[in-house]
Amino acid sequence: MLPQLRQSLRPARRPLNELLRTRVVSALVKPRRVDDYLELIDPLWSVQYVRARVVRIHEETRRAVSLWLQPNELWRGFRAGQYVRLTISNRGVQYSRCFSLSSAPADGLPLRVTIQTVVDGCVSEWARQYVQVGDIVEVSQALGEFVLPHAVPRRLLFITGGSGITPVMSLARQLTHERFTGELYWLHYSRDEVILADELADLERTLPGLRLFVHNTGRRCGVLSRNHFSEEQLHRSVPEYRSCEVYACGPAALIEDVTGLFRERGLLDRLQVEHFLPSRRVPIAGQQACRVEFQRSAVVSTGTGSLLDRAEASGLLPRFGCRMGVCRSCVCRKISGVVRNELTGRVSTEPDEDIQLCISTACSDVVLDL
Amino acid sequence: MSVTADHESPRRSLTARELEAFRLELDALRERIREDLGERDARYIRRMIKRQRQAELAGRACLFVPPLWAAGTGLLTLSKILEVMEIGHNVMHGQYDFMNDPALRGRNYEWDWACPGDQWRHTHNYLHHVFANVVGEDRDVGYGLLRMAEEQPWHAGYLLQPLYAVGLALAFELGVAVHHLELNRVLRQEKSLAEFVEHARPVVRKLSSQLFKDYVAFPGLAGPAAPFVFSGNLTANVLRNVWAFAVIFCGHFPDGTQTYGREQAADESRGAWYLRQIAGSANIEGPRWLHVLTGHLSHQIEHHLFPDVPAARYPEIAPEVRALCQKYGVRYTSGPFTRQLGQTLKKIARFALPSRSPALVPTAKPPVTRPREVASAHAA
Repeated sequence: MLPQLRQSLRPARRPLNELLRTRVVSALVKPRRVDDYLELIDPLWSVQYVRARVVRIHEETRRAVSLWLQPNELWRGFRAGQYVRLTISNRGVQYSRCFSLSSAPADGLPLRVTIQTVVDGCVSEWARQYVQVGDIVEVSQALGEFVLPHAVPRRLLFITGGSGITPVMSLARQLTHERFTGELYWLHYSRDEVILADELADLERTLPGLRLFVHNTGRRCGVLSRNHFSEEQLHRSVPEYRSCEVYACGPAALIEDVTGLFRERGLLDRLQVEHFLPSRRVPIAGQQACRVEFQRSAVVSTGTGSLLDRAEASGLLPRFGCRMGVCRSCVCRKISGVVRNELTGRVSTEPDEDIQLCISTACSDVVLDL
Repeated sequence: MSVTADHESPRRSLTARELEAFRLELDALRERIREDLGERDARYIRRMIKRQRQAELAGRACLFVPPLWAAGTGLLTLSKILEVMEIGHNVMHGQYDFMNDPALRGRNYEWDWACPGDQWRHTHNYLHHVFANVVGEDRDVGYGLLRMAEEQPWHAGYLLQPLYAVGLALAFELGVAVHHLELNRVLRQEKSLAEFVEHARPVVRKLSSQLFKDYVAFPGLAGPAAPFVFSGNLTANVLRNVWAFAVIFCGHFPDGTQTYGREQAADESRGAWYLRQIAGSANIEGPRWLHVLTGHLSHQIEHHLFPDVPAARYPEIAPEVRALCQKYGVRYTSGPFTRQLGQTLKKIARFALPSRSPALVPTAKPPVTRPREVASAHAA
């Protein structure tokens, strides 16, 4: 009976959602939310959150998995190059991580995310072992500014490393759909198997202007640095790189090298980067002990470390996600004091600013609304 | 009055060294369980929540059809009991915080019950659990209405306490909701009116939305079936009240449970704290469904030792706790539901009368040094 009900309600969900969001309905279910009951009928159904069903799983390489996600009607679409925050449950614990969409808007639904699995990663473990077709996950709306301008430049350069290929694949697929006829240079660096290699090969056929350079940076290839990104190598492959709009995505070291080069050449305004790992490991140690007061909880911490670690060490349970300054789950209002964002080096001195707990350290006595 | 314990335990106090060894064994047990938390616990609470919501939807739907009144009322009662006992109370203890699920986070969860979550977290998680059975600190000793311990001085008003108890049982939800307001202290002018109003505001807000839902909105939606919906909701709420009252009073007042004066609980070690939690609590024996309906408060002893361990784990650790108690000669009070309830009701009747020996009438009460001062009731 339930599957039929689910099926017959599906087309009506959009108008029903409007009704279900009214105050009358929320008074009837208070203190629960409407979603809490809707999920009994259909686990995808929500008036508040984008939920998605895993409809296909494909192992791309030994270390990368693609998931196809069919979102509910709350999904507002995306631009090529954007990412989503994916919330999954592994061994009973929820985790949120950000992943670039590797499909293009023109590909339509389902969406595809390609996840590079890392050793010891909770989400990786889930993607490698536990996820099954039919599972429900929560996704955020599309986020990020790593997108092409509406007027697509005629000369493009993509520089990608490892799983940094994923958002750029989305850009390239979109260009294919839009029948891009300009020049496109693409330098890809990979330590082992190239993720989405087949698709990359297909693009060479479907994108006439594409010149692809794939460099293997793995240890087996002799001198370690020979295949790594350098100006000489860039110049050799793409002599006209100075006149390109550049999109770079990859591991921290690659992004640092690329940014460094373009800064030196005064070309930073032509460069767009996306990094999903902090560009340097957050050095959170050796801070002088500052007093941090968690005002709402009436707890004071005198230790050291990131504000998130200190809150947890004090027995609090602030909301958190990635713990590396990306997902902003742990954003918290700072009432007073000076904190430094260890990722960007930015110092927040103003009272009443929102800060990210996981990558912020105290530079003075701090009061937090936590 | 015969004291019933399930096994005869030598009534002697532990040496400091024994107490420390006892504490270490309990700490180790707790750590072992916390290490093991995961998929099984998450699946359990999610399934329980799903069942509770299904029962609620089905119950409310049945009440719209007058011939199904009894079924609807039964299902709604079941769902209301599960929401408060097995889900709300346990989630609000932070038992499922390990799941990192915003909907099940102890400090945010708002239960479907008149007492506002934040006030509950203060009076229950903090005052009741930290100061369990300490007369003058733990307001659950008689709820400011009943005399449940020798340490509470008798006055003539207590003669009618069997009647108050009936009233409290029938309107337990309301009783718990106004618990934090400390009406008795306001009447004695120990609590300022301003503070009272500040505490009362969230109660009035929550209470009115609860009352609106059950007694205005749903009957209103039912049209001609309104009286059936109204009476079904009322019955379900009253049944839940009586059940919750019975379970909660059985947890701390059957024979064998102890109450404490403030000075006894002052500056106690962690081991002594464990000991007080055990001595102040009593378990209920019965089939699994009974444990679920009590929200596993049938394992009150385990709950008071480890309030943030998922309650569904208590049955599996209870034998170990019991064995430890036996090993150290600590009384472990446990009995079937009817016996525990009978003893509790007898106690209510007995303490309506003045104590025969006026031994333990407290004079000036020194304040207890609290392990951690909590600034306001609204602390998360």
